[in-house]
Amino acid sequence: MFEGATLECRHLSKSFPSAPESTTVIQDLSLRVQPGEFAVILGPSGCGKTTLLRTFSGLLRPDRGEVLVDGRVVHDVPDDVGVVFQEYNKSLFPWLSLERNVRFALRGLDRATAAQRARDALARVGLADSAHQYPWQVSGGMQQRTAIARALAHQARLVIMDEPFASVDAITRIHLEVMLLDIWTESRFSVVFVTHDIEEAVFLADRLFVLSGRPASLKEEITVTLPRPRDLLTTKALPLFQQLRERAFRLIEGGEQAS
Amino acid sequence: MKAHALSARIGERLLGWVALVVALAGWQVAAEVRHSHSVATFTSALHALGKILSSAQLGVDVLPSLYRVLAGFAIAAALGVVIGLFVGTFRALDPWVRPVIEFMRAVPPPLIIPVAMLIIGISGKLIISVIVFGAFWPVLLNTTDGARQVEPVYIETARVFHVARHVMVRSIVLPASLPMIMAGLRIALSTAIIMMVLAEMLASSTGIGYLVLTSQQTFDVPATYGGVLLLGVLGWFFDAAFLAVEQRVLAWNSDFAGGTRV
Repeated sequence: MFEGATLECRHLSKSFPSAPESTTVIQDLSLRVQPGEFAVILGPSGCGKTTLLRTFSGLLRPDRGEVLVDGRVVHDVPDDVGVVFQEYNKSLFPWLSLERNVRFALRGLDRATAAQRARDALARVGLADSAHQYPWQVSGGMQQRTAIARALAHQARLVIMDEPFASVDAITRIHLEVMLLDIWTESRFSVVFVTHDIEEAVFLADRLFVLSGRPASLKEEITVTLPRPRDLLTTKALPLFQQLRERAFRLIEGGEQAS
Repeated sequence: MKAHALSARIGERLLGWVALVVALAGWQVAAEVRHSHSVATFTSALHALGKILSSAQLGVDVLPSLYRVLAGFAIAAALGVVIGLFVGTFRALDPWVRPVIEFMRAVPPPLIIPVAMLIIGISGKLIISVIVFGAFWPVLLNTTDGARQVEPVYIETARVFHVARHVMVRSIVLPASLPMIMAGLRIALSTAIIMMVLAEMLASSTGIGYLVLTSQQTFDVPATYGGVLLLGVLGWFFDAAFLAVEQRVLAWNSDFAGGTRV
């Protein structure tokens, strides 16, 4: 039975050497994402969210503390973790068609199975008809959908997303949010989704981790009890949505004095 | 609308051909009017070219030259791409090899010919060797730079999907550097032709370069011009063939697939 993975990090710290002294990007951060949970990490721009995600996915080593996926300490990228990167023009390989990009996650399977799974995954993000196009031939939103399809085909139990919709236009973004929620509702993998957009964060999240500015540390953890399935108009019209949005906004804007 | 654009494009192409015909006619008229011993007419050059291609000279001079250029270019391309990918991928190597590459690239390639004559002596190997030398550096340099500039997110994506290091070079670094590699190969191809002609003039008794030089020394003026025509056509043909290959290989690249190139 498919179940989302847990992600846990304990007392995580990371700094980068930069003249004249090193810059601390993450400081003593601990959090826990439950199986199948949609966790959103919300923080101001430039607070080290991308570094945090790279550490979660095993692409970077923490200086102190540890990251655990399903209770096992992460040293390299765990098998069942999928990552969707921020810029759509970098997250796919431009020399491969959309289908071949998805099949990249399925190397090792025989051709027929891989092709079938790739086509299924593309169909789930509504791109069945564009399988043979190259990334430059389709829109930015379609490229990010392909990146999501690749994580789906990989059967990732934890999908880590680094501001995946930040560089597409506002209308496409709304469509992508709704599509992502639909897919997640069907599959129930765990999600760690990073954004600096408060509205997006509240709309998507089960649990909201609000980070302070640089160095990033956990400011507050908010459980979002908005009912599911969520609908763009009705959910955003709920008083609870407004309250949560306001609370998150104050946390982000309040800077240091709030903490 | 589409038909209109197409006819406009054909019209533009036609202009180029008209200009070429005008230039050749100008050559013909100027040579006829001046009637100088040092300038052959276009028609006599064409006639001489026909003779070169239909006589034993085809096998003695033309085919060996073609073979040398293609062999030299192929060897240089293979060496340059393989070594370039290696140096560009393993950055620790870079400080060791960079000064050597920069120096060797700065040496004008023809200078290798006298040196090679000392080392190799005058033989068929000499010409291919100097072609390889000339064509190797632009391929190596462009491949190294291409491999070093691979988008880090591509590498991270490959790591997410557990791509082994040696597979990474072939399936990520190579295709990602391909636009740079192709640009280097194109420079290398024209350098290869230059080196072929020069080496055949200086150190050979066969080949198109040798043919042009001896015909000039024996006052067979039409043959000299015929040889020049032949080299011009060959150079043009090689470049056109190269661009056709590039167009296919880089079809995924928006810079090439948009039909912006003429």
